[in-house]
Amino acid sequence: MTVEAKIRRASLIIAAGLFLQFLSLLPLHPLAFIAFVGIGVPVMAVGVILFLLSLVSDAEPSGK
Amino acid sequence: MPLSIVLTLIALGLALALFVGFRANITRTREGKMLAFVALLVLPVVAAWSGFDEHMERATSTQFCLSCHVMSQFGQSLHYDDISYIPALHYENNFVPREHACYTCHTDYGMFGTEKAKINGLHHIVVQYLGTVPKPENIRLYQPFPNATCLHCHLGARKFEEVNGHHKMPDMLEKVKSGQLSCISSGCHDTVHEVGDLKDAKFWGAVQGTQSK
Repeated sequence: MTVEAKIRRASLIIAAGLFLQFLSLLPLHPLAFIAFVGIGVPVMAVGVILFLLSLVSDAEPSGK
Repeated sequence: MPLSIVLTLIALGLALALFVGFRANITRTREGKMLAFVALLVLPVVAAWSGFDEHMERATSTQFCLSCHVMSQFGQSLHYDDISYIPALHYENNFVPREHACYTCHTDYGMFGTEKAKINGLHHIVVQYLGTVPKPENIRLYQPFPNATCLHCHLGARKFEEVNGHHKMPDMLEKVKSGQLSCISSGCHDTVHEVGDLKDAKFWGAVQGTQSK
């Protein structure tokens, strides 16, 4: 997988996480908080980690 | 931070993430890499943090606490037309902010009071959806109501320090301040929510299903 493809994948995952966070802020209900903390933030965090890993994987070949 | 700003921040993060996602080739340039760094790391983290902060803030609202059905009777008890009920006395006279009435009296004011209240709240959600919800009249606090919560506002107030009822015994006030004698002890301020009294009660102000005043 190319670096650009990895970044694209990370971006879409982050976007999905942010979308869930956005939706969770619309209702005033305890389950909205659970959705934010339990789904929105972890999904976004996975995307951010994948983005950071894509940077590392991009840097590795040029470092050798 | 106002909700509109939080939503705007998240929407901006979402739009930028999608932009970088669909135009990933821009990351070949230095500017593109910088944009990707902001769009895929800085902005999502800031947006998530502001969203979390907003959720924590709104979780202190009375409306939030009463959004669970089992709590509705406790909400009604804030409107008893009888000031011997301590929560009603505080709510009706604005001794506590009405928008944060539950939280004001049911959090501790230590360093991690909000977090502790939130963890207890998560337990409530587990019970609500996965456990057996007790009847409102059977709901009890996890631990005895701490005097520190009352003293947070009343300590040092002239009425609190000088009222005759607080000097029925020579060392009564000291015992209260040290937590040896509970404020809601029998014979003191022992009439609290008492949701079992609701069916025969008169109410002050607009209560759900009640319009009496």
